[in-house]
Amino acid sequence: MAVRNAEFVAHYEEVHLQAWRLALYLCGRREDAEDLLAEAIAQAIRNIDKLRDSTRFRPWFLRLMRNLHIDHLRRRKRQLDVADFGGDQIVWERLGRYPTISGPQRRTEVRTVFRALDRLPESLRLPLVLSALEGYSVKEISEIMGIGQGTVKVRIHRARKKLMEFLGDDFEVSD
Amino acid sequence: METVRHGKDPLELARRQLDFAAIATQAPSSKEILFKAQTMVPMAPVRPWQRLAKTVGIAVAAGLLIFMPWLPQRASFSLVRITFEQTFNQYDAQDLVSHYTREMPVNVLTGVDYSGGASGKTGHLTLRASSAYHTSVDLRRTVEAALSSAGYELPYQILDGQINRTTWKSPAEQVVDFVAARTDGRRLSNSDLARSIMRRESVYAEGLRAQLRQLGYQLEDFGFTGRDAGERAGYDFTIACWPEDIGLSVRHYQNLTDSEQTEIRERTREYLTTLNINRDASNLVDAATNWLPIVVYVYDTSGRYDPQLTARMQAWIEQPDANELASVTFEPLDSVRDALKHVIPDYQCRLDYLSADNPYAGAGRFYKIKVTQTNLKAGNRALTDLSQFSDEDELSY
Repeated sequence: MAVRNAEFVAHYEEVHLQAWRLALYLCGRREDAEDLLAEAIAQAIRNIDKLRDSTRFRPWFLRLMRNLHIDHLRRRKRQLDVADFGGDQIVWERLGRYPTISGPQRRTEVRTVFRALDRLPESLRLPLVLSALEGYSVKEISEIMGIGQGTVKVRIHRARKKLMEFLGDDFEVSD
Repeated sequence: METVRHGKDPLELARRQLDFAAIATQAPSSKEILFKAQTMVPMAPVRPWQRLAKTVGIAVAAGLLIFMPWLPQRASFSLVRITFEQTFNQYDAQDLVSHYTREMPVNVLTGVDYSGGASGKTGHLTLRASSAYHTSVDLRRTVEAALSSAGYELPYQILDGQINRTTWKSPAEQVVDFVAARTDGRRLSNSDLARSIMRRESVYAEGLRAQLRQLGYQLEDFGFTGRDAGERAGYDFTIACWPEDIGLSVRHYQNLTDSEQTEIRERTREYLTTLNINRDASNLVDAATNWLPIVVYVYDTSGRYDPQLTARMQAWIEQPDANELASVTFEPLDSVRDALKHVIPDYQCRLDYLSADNPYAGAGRFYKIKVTQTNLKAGNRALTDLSQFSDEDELSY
């Protein structure tokens, strides 16, 4: 048991920060993200035997966490759309804790982008975030979400299109 | 400040504005999350053998619940064993056992072993008694009182001990074993069947008289002769029976031809064999139903046949004689109720007629009565069901 847990910890250390960011994206609140991540770890330890290829630990674990999050949503019958929760507070919960944004105009721009992201349905937002912000490949996203790579590409395309609709024609990004 | 249209990809803007280093700095440590994981959800076994062990454990627990009667049962009982220095012939042993059994309290299990004694030889008799520790019965003193009441003054030895019983058998199997042990041909009945048989000689005479009348002969005398050869004098002939030989006299027997005498003897022997009191009958003790007017079968509260209580009830029932049996006012249940007062005083019992056969072809009916214990009478403690204990139990003295 101890040896097996040590193996798990070694794997988890490598993906901890990525898992933390995904948890933040999924939950929106730091406290919820911590709970989700911890619960995902507990479940991953119980099911570590199902992981046949240890090199695929990252997509396996992130998919497990994402499925767990969906289960929570189903149980709570809660939608993730940030707009339903009042917008700014959760947006800045995600972003405002990291005040590297310089200048009020940039701050407004970034805030607008993230608010638009939060308005996307989760099925579109997650592949877009994982691809555009986290840099995951289409293959990894398909493993995490449990869908085909073609579906991932379609969803990313639709998510971008929808995001642009939310931002509107007047939205500008300053250099 | 140069303005860039959103065609420059706002997501790239967002990605560049995310300070991953800052996120990493403010993220909880992996150890912190791991610790939280362990505190919020107990870690389940993950190795295959651990899962297998868990599954097996659940299966075993379920099996134990299903087969609960097979769980080992341990109980302790006080026990005394009475051995006699002298040997007994079958009749004396039977007489002593009858007295001993009737004098013992109803909540004490009595046991009898008789070895040897076949073909007129003497054998060794061992009596046993046991009771649960929680009863207040002083077994040694009770046994001494019972033997004294029986008028027995010859030397005997009482060994104290206890029964430590552990068995994996179900109660039903134990009952089967108990019955099997009691039907061993070398055991003596602990009822007073011999006494009952000898009291019924007028009943048997009536039946035989009817049989011989059909052949045109008249039975004049019929009786148990005792074991001394001298007592056989006065009868025309004797038939070897149990517990004593039977002597018979037929009118003008000496004047009959040999073939007619043979016919009478054969019909008589056939009749007595039908009554199952032939000395050689191997199932005599367990076949009392053939010749006792009132036979009972005792069942406990769970519906199991109780041979121990049945034998004791049978011993206590006052059997009717021929005149009583033929009387229209005779009520067999009265005899059963009188015996119940002594043998099963703490339980209410239901009495049911099973059948009414009369093997003697004479007047009067014969009765088989089922006695079913229903429930404890108010204010009485439960009796320990000792009848389930077999001789295969672990005994120590």
